[in-house]
Amino acid sequence: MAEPLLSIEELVVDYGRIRALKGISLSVGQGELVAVIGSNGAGKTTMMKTISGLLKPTSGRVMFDGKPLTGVPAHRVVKLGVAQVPEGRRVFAQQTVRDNLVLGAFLRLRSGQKREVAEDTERMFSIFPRLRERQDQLAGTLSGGEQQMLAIARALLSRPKLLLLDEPSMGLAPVIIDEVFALIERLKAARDTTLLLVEQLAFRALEVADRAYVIEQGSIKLAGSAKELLANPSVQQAYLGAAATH
Amino acid sequence: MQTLQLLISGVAQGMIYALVAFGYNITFATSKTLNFSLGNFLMLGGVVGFILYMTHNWPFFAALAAVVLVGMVGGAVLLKVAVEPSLNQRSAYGWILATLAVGIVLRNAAEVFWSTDDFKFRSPLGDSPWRFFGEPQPDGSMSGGLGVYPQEVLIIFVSLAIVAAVELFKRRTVFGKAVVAVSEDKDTASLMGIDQKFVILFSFMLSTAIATVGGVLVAPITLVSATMGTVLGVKAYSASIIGGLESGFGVVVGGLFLGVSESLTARFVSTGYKDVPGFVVLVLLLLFKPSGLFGRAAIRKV
Repeated sequence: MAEPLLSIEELVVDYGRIRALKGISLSVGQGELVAVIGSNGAGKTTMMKTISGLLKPTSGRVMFDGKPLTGVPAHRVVKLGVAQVPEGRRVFAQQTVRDNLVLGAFLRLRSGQKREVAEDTERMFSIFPRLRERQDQLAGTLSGGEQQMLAIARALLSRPKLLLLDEPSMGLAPVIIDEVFALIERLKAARDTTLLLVEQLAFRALEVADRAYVIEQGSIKLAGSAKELLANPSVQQAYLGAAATH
Repeated sequence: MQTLQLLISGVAQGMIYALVAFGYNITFATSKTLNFSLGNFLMLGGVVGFILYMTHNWPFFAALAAVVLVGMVGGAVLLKVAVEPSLNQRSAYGWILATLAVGIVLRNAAEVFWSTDDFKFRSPLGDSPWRFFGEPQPDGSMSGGLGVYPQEVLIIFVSLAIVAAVELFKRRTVFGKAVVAVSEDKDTASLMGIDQKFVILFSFMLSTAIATVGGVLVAPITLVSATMGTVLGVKAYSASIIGGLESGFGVVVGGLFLGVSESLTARFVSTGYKDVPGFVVLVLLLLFKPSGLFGRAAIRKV
């Protein structure tokens, strides 16, 4: 494989005295969709927050596009081309849908790409017609699914090379989860954004991913192509029993 | 007629409370800390303005520009010297003492290096009242009717302009929206590429600059002294609690309420009781609606 776009090497992250990540390594190649599956509290969100610069690792490093991300503050990581859709969506509830999109394009607007951003916003509205209808509404008044779409559109407006999707299915009804995963599939098919997806719904994630890692209690337990992991008996037993019923 | 005159004075005084309260609101929104030295920043503005405009005879607008600059630099120093260190020490309330201490240092510095006296500050619009609806006198002047100090009019218009400009900036500009985003959710704001430290620095500089301008505005009405900001800072804080700390519009209403209730009580009851209605309302609000008149519960959906 060519030089990966993102590589994580022996990453250790502590919350006070609790070790959340115990030295994990993984890589994501250009244009790939890689999923990280695992149960609640396994360290998935910690990993995402460390990549995006919200958390500082105790040791180990994160390399992106040939440059180290470790120690780079979150607002600079975005500039390098990494966007995160945070767990729980975290839309700016008290601002309008349109303002949320403006904030997603904050750096581009500050560097004078007004026209390009307007075009991209128009494209987002054609992908998500509901957002166009509700552009003047406060984001906090949207349904959970609409908020998730807004959070994804907002992240895409920074034109990231790498999009981090943290638990996009959280708290959503199964029908809406279908929509979210259809969108992820569409992003994957376009192949101009590399995707790192963290999910508790292992079956859903393995269905769309190229490759996947299984994370348990802060360590990577298994890695392989999504197909291999879907067929792996221990994965089936631990993660797919409940998830497959969705 | 007299009541109208009292109302105008009350509104002018209230707008000063509102300006300082607005300053509390700005830094509270972004950093969740309150800058208790804001009243003394107002004093700093009054004193620096006095030294330049009255003592050294600078043109008014040059003095005002210098005051704004002093306010901005002061806000940056305050943040770096007092607020940031106490936030980094994980002491939940260190910033309260730190900002109070900066206020005391400012006041004492003014007393030691400048003066402990009260001074008259000439209004740039002149100190004789404008008269309306009065009886014209043979010499062309007027008597009776409604008398309004030009400075009161200036206070009302400049304060409204400042508040409106800041609110428009927050709603209409990309950087303004970023400031609102930091107020709502710092981590997510930084995931948008917004430098939250810069936004917080900006909000401190803006709030102290507004307070120092407030000092220059109020000085022709109250006299300039090293202690002019102390009580004003406390009252402005009451105004922001009455209106709701989270609401830029609310703090203006809170300020107006305090100013008008003071001037009406002073005239119709007794000057000794002028602070009573405001503080009674403050206590009632704290008991029954602690988020203030316009404080709203955040819309949040998970």
